[in-house]
Amino acid sequence: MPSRLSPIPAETGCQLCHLRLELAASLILTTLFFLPVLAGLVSVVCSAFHYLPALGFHTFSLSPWQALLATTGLGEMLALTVSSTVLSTLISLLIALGVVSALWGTRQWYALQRLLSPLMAAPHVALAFGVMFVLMPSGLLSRVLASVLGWQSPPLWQTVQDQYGICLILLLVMKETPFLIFMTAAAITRLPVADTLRLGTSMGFQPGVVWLKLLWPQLYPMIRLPVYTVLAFAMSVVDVAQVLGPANPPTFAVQILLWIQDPDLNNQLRAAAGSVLLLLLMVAVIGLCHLAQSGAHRLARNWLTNGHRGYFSSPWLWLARKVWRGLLVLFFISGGALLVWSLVWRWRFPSLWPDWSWQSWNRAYDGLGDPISNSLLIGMISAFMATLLAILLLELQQRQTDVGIARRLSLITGAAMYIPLLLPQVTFLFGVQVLLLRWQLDGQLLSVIGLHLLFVLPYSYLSLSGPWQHYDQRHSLQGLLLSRSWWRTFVRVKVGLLWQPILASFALGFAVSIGQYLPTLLAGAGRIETVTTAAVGLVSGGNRRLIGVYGVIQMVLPLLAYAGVFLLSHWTFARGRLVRRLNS
Amino acid sequence: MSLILENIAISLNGQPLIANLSCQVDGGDVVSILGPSGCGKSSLLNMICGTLPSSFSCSGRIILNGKDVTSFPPHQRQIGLQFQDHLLFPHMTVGENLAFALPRHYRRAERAQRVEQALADCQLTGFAGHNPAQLSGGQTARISLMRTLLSQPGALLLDEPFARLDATLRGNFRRFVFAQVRTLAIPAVMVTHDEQDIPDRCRVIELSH
Repeated sequence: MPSRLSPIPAETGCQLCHLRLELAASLILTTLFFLPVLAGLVSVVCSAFHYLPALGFHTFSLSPWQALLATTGLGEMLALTVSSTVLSTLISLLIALGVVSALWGTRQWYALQRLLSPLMAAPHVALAFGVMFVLMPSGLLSRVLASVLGWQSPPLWQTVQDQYGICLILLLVMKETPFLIFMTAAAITRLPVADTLRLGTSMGFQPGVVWLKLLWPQLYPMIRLPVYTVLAFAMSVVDVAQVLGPANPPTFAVQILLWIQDPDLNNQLRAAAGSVLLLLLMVAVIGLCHLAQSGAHRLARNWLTNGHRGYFSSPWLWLARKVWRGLLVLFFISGGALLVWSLVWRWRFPSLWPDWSWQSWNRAYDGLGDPISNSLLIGMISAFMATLLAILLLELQQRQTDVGIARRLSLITGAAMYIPLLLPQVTFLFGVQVLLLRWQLDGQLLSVIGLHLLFVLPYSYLSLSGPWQHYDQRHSLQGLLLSRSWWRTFVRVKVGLLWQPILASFALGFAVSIGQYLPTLLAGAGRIETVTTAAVGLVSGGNRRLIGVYGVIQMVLPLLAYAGVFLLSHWTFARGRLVRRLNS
Repeated sequence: MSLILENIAISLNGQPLIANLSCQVDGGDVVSILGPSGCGKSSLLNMICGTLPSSFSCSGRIILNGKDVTSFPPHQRQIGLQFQDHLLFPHMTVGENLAFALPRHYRRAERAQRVEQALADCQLTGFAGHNPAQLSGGQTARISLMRTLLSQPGALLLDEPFARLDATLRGNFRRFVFAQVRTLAIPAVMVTHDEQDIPDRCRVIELSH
């Protein structure tokens, strides 16, 4: 049986060909995953140069670029996009590293880690609605202020959709900080933190300075890729930017989507050129980050070794803790605001107490069936397939007996998984949409699921690769010797041992799928509506009560998945009775 | 220079690990603490440098050069620590690892000169620009000790410093450590479970369960 600790000492010829087959299967799967991304890129680049046969453009020309460059306010849109992207990423990164430094090793550290999954599972559109309900001129915040200051009408502030994108940045920070904390917490287990802190303080350094000088420089390279995915997400995010971002001019990604949805076909070409520009912008920003990192590295050399040990007992650690607490409070108040607004009948401005009613839920009831069943169906299938594929990919890697091949294989697969997360979504999804249109595959449930998989599979794969690496192969070897069946060993021993991470990966995949907006919109062609697309569609209508209803449902769906997974990972049926699982 | 431990007692969940330990270590002397694993050796070192986890309870006083440091936070105690895995910082060169530990008041030129001197003292001249990962086990151990000493500690704690070295390196490094302690005339406390590590004519405190 091929396994790295194979009980059979020498490889027979047949085993070798088995291994080759498995290697080929693994590479083919990775290529299949990568192909739509590549095809999308090629097709969007072609469209940007006036070649889009599906819409009747057959000649290459530079006219889309000329149209793009003639767009009024292009510079403003690009500046807004870059500033909101870079600022939100930088702030999230600082808060995440600060929170990890402040809480590591304390009792709150474990509480924090339990809190991260539900925070990451909250769909960002729902969160954006919640933040809107808190900050808008007639929102909770101004009502509280009004009751103190005696205002009679809503203030004239522009807190939501402000022209500098501050509100958008705030939301991106709320959304991305938990993700970066999660990735940092995973990375930090590979560093000797306790010993480094002991050693640093024994040389007279303040603990906060030990974190800054000794631990952050080692941590950042470990979470660099996740940071870049945060950059890519912020740069191409459309749904949240439509809710909280500035409207005139909007961020560049939103403008591209407006062009895509424009009935004027020439604007499709302009959208393609814009998508390519967005990609170039993304490459430029990541390149600059890389340069900034090596520049900072050089500048920091002197600071690292100047012997400065810190005067104060690290006020920034205290600050990080406070900022994090503030974000959490805003997070939960926003969730609460959604629920409140979904139950409001009438709510005059300065009043703190609305007139309650079930009316919005009753009214929404008829329209909710399709979006909810679509969301559930797409989420379940894509999460299930993603978990299965991730297990398959990891298992094929682990069965390679040659350590070198196995390592290269895992490198290739890992890189392929990161690519859809590192590219601006609009860019290659638009290209894929053009292809779907051409082959008349748009508006089909399968196409939507396929596109969701592009984003769900990477998360499933990344979340399972850790547990797969840490799995002690001797368990399987022992199982193999006892049962003499590879399949039974795999199911009973390996899957049994890794049951919890597998379920967690499923829940994560489901949450990722529920949050997807662009893939559903572009592959669904308006015929397939999920809770998320329906909710974003409500923004222009401005019916807050209905927005509240959809926001609550969006929040609840992933939480239900997490609750179900929690039950399944702690309880099981044995001899017709519900019993606790042993390793729960 | 001296380090005085006065009536040290440590217990974990009400179980006493160490009861009523007192000793005085003068500059240049090494006191060895010998005992099987789990007898509270590491807890004693942790208490001396101020990093005892809160699940332990302890009493007694630690006096360094006439100053009671028992209630000081770790970074104000001026007690240097040497681990069994020598933990050079991988994001800095060998020279930067050494310069990191130097006190702030030395200016740039003097910092460089002191780093060079430290490298020469441990027979590793020319290694300043090397990556710590390129060093052998024995070289890593020597650099790590020099780094601790450059931070100018008032006392040195050695936590099984020879445990990860093979037999030949062990003897060399042991002689090197004790020579440095004598030259700098600082008090040192060493924890070990191996009697061979203990230098000649050296006081030994044996801990048992």
